[in-house]
Amino acid sequence: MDREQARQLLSEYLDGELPLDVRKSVEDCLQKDPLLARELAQLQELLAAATSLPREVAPSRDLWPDISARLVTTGVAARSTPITSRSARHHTRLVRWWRPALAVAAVVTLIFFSDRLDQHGAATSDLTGMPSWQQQDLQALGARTMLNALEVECDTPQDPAVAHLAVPDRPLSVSSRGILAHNLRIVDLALADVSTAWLANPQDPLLTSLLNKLSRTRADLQSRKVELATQI
Amino acid sequence: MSRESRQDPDKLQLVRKAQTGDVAAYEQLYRQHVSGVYGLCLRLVADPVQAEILTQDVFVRAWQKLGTYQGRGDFGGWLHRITVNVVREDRRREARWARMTRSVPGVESREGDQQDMASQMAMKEKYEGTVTPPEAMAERIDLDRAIAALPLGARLAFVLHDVMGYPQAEIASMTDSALGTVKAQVHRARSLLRKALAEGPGPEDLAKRRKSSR
Repeated sequence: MDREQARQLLSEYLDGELPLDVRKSVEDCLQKDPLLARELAQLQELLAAATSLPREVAPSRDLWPDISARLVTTGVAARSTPITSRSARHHTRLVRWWRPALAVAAVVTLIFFSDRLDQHGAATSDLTGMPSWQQQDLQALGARTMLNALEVECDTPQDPAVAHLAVPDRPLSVSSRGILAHNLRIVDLALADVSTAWLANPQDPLLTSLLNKLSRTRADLQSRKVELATQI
Repeated sequence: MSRESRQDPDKLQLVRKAQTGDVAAYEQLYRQHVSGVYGLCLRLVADPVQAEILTQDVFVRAWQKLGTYQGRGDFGGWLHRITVNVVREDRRREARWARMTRSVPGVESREGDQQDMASQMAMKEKYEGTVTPPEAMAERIDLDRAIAALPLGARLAFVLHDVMGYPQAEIASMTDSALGTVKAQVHRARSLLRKALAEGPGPEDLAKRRKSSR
């Protein structure tokens, strides 16, 4: 066995997974080759360091308030009966069909809100006095409402999220990182679908413009996320 | 290096309650497992802020899928399986986003810099609050950084096997991969990490780091 062959087996040697004869050959190589022996020692140090890393790390804050808020908006949890393969196939077909529709709905909603802000300005908008990041949050939330409305038709029979988000007097915690993260996901979904379309047709000015708008929205949400992270 | 896989009857009782829609029971499960899930997310993304967001996603996803948990394996392991899927989806999304920002004219990619900055600040704060000796702390940060720089497949295999202690066969099942693939990924990760750490900061860098951490 040469050095390279022995080197390839060092990992399994450390895990004790080599057959006895191969193990013996590796040990012979290690005795003759100080460079290989050094590599083995480095690997042992690496594994000792990896094992000493804490498996459990507490987050810097309690995440439960954000999670429990999302449990309410996501609706009830568990499916009590397993999905049959037929209904699963049906579900997949519907989702495949509705994905472009969901993306378009999100984009239309985002553009509707942003155009409204662009044209009328903060003075006539409901979002008067809000900083731009909050306006962006609300725009994304509008997209979510639209998405949920469509999801009701194609996925679950009843999604409490729609009713929940539609209540006008609902206190909206736009500064919550949970909602911010959630909105980022929605924008990401729309971006993924629009970007696929754009990659297929990069010369299309409308798609490029949609992509730019979505990208700016995402960048603003992302910058707010970083801002929040540095505040805590 | 094997993990405890027996199910605690009290925990199973909590899971059963949560499966009926009992949010209070689910909160107790969250309290018992949040450190494990967050720890895994942190090792996989090396960004405390992103790890918190992903931890939230994991518990929301677990709530949605709670009905599929049969109580056969360890609930923590079941959560870790969801964590792996959530992190992989997130990384794929990030990669797609990175490709987009490179190819679309006029789109600015600010995310990378900002995330790095936030990550470094949060990491600094986290480590500043500990009583770990400076040398060990520096080594740990080096190892964390080196793990974060691994390709996703190798990172998953290394973290799950060498940090979290999962057997390779279980990792293969968690990641829907062949056992041979997992073995190869573990080998690749160890090899890359050994090289990265062996070629790491020289004595001058370490001395500077020790001086600044005093």
